[in-house]
Order: sequence, then structure tokens, then C-alpha cells
Amino acid sequence: MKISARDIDHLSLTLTEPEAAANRLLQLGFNLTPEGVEPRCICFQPDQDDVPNYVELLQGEPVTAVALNVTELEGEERTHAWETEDGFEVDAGVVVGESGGPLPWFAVRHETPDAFMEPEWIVHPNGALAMMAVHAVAENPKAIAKALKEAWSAKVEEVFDGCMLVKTGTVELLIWSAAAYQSEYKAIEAMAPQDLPAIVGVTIAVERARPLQALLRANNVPFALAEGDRVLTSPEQSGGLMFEFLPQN
Amino acid sequence: MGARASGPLMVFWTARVPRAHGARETRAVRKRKLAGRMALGLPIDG
Repeated sequence: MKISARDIDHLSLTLTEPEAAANRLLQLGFNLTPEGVEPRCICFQPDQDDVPNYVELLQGEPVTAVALNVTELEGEERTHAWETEDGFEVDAGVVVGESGGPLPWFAVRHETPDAFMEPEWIVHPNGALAMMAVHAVAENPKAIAKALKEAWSAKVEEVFDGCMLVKTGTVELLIWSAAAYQSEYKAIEAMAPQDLPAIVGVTIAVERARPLQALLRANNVPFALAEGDRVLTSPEQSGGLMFEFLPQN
Repeated sequence: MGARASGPLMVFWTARVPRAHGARETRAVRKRKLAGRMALGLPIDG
């Protein structure tokens, strides 16, 4: 399958117990869409008004996939409605395409992108501003990057030995070798999964590092600090994903 | 942050700060976030 992707739209986490993950993410200081309606989402202010930027939690056979935003797509139509604190109903509709490989991904077309940009859901107590990047680990990052470049009409660049960048829009995909990933994120003793390629983490832009650290301490969430005041939390603390918080100050 | 960027990943990230889209606040975005902060009961200057 080949598409012309505008950007990585969202990260889709299918889990056996999404509510347990949602509770962990609340402890990290994220604000999620209301419970009781699938999907639960962590929404961010997007770069473009019609391309949302969020993480979604779904219930099912565990898989983590990236969703690529496209303007034209035939596929499964999914709709849901959230209710805001003020009692407003927010209707959302997306068209989801077939899954692709070698890294799990699918195309998505939004019929109501504004639903994922509601003011009360894009502001987070931890100061999160945006999902900047998605991290994956592969046995052969160059080969995976090349395959995704062709499938997504993306651009590819070698950031450094063992780390490839795949870029379609604002949100970037970093594909690591297991050794490079474990070395870069040794502060949280990051381990590459056995089944590769796999999506392992996200980078979130935050306003400032200090308030985030205070929030994590208050919630008894272990974290590590890395170069550049980055704050790292391990997958065990964050619903199965490594979170890297990158301060913007 | 740039002065401390020595590792190759930090060099990569430094080139993207403060380019993270959520950090580039237009007036409309600031208004939207202010509404969100008020809805959450967070300090509006935070």
C-alpha cells in the first residue's frame, strides 16, 4: 500500500487494559478525553488546523501503530461522541485504512479534526505541548526507513549511526537500532522488545522541566534526567511506552 | 539548552527547539489554551 502522507497524525495504542494505561498516563500529568468512551485520547495543539496530534488508547489485541494523515481515503468509518465538562457533545468521525508494514501503521482521514483540538483537552497539568516524535526500534533501521519512505512518500535522513529519521510532516519518526536505543536511553534502562520492528516511545514537548519533575515526584512516578533537561519515564510507568519530555525553554 | 548539547541526539533535538508546534503560540492558540486552562482550573499564567 502506498499513500501520500501529510504527517504522523496520531499514535494508536491497542491494549488489553486501556483504562489501566489511562490511569498511569493521568499520573504523568496528562489530561485525557472522558472515560467510558473509546478511544481515550491525549490531544495536543496541532501544527496544522486540519491535522490532529494525539495519542489514542483502544481495547483489544495489543499492538502499537502510527496513523498517517491523508486527505483521500476509503476505509472503515469510525464515529464516537465525547461530552465536555460543560455538557457539550463533541462528535468525532474518522476513516481508517488498512494496516501496513513493516512497522505497524495505517492511514487515517479525519472528517472532524476539531474534535481532537477541544481547548479543555489540549492543555495538560504536566505542561505538555505537542507530540514531537515517535520512536521505533528495528533490526535494520535503514531498511525499515527505506520501506516507509516508499510507502508514505516520506523523506529519510540518517541522524547518526543507528538512528534513522522518517519525516512526512511535523511529527518525526526515529528508527533506532537496539544498541543505539538502549545506549541513548540507558538512564531508564531501556530495553528493545524481542519482536522487531516495534514502536517503543514518544517525545513530548513540554513548557518547562521543573514543574513536570515536581508533578512526577508528587505522584510517586520514577523518572530519569537526561542531557538537555529531558525527563524520561520508562514503559512500566507509562502504559507500555517510553516517554521523553523535551523542555522548550 | 543549546550550550549543553553535546550528544548527537541533543544536537538533533536542539535544532527543533523551540520549533515544537505546540510551543509556537499564535494568538488564536493562546486563546484556545487559556480556555482549556480555565476549564481545568489551572493557573492562567502557568
